[in-house]
Amino acid sequence: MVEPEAERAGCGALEPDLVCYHYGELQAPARAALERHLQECAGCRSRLAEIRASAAALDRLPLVLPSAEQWRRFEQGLEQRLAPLRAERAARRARPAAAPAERTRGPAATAPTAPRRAWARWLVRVAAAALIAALGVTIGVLLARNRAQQAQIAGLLHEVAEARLERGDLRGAASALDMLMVLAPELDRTARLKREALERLGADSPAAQLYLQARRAAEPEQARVQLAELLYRFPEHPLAEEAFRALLQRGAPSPRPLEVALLQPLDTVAKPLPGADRTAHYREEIAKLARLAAGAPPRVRAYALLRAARLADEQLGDGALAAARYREVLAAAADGPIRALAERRLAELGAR
Amino acid sequence: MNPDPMPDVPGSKARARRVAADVAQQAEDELSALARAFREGEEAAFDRLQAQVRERLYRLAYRLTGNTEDALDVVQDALVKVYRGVEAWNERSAFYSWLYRVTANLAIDRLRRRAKVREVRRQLRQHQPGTSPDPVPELVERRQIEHDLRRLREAVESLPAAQRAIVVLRHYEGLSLREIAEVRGCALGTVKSTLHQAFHNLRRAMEGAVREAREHGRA
Ligand SMILES: [Zn+2]
Repeated sequence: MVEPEAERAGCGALEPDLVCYHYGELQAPARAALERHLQECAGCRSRLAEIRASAAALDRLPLVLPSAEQWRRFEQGLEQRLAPLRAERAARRARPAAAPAERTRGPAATAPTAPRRAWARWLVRVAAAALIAALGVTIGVLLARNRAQQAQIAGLLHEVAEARLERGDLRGAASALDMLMVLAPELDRTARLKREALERLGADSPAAQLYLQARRAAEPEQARVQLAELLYRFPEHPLAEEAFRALLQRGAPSPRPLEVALLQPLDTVAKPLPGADRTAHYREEIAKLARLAAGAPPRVRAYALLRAARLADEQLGDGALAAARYREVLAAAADGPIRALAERRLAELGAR
Repeated sequence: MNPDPMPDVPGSKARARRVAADVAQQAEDELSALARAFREGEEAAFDRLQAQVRERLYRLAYRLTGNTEDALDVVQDALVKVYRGVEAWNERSAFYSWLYRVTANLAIDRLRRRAKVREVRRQLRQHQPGTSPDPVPELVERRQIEHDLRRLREAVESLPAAQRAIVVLRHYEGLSLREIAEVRGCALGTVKSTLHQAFHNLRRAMEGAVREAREHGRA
């Protein structure tokens, strides 16, 4: 009666060791002792087998990874929560930094370098072309002779904007809304559509926050930093192009109001004129972007090079040229989505 | 399934561990460097850091909380906490260890909160008649596997938070008991006895499941 009782008590004390043993966490002397005991004790052997069975069962529990959509929402949520913190941090850092920045500004800022002047000229032409294109349509709407005619056009435009919003064609919806705002800015339906379009275009996104910070910046240098950050971190956001455009402006960047920037997007790359040689036109645009990139600060350079690579890729369909351009992007962007985009596309081009 | 997938060849195991440790050290150093850059004002360093760690942290949080939504929330909470508190990071521990600890503790907190809610629900359910759907013959086998998995998940979920935490850190995360003691901020002896308790409870819960399944099958 005494023997089994004593053995049971001793075995009970060994139980924690069995789990450690299973996980290879038992040190040499204890390990050897346990192994000796296991050879003699069927009870402990079966307990070890049970531990192993439980561990094997744990292995069967699947690890469910989030979908791409869930990761996207995660990122959005994170950015929303970080945006105020980022702003706070930027403000905290900007205050002590303002004084030395003031001192270093001077000759370098007042005498723009040659590439910067080239940017500005190119930009004026691009902006003018875009403006004329936009005005052409708007004027058409304004030419409607009477209220009845205007109401008819407005009704049609509402339909168009609504359908485009539903389809997810935000750019198309924005251009219809753009006209509606000229034609019927006070209508509830226009206001509602506008709100919806702005929301879907990300008027409250982290990119928009950066954009607004740039607009509110007291110092041009501060605005340039925010804008460069915007296009580097969110190269695919509609505001990236606006930031790029603003950065290219001569002197201080002056981004347009957020609503306008979102609803009336301007493109820095001109479309070819009807009848023109598309290939020659885009090759020319690519070369310009590359020239501008050469004189731009690092983040802006990365964006400009990505823009050039995408023109080669999407407009010219020239795999070799695109690959060469994407490799330049890799050299310019050490990290972030610009690099990721270039890497992904290079891998796809290489796979073909 | 092979019950013993890694035979104990002392040399190879030690080497594998050393290589893994080197790689881990390198990754830790890199993350610490990013955290330092972020602390010194480079905003993009945080984004890079976030992208590098989030999946690892998700795995940890998923094993601890048992579902995707909670796990993603926990990772987000941890990242926000770290963003806010990076100035307080004193470099006494590597950045990743800190982040890891923050994530584990947030997940365990959530687990504790949820356990209370579940207990109330369970008590409510016991007073209601069970509703089991009619078995469709061709689905029975699949259903059995799903049933087993569900019971297993329930067994893991029924563990007290502290026990579950140690099972997850040891079994899924592969932390040594000493590392677990560090992460959890408790004594090595406590980790050992808690791990043992956890396996004991796990076995009991699964035995119960098997017995119940058998009775269910007979009825
Ligand atoms: Zn024994």
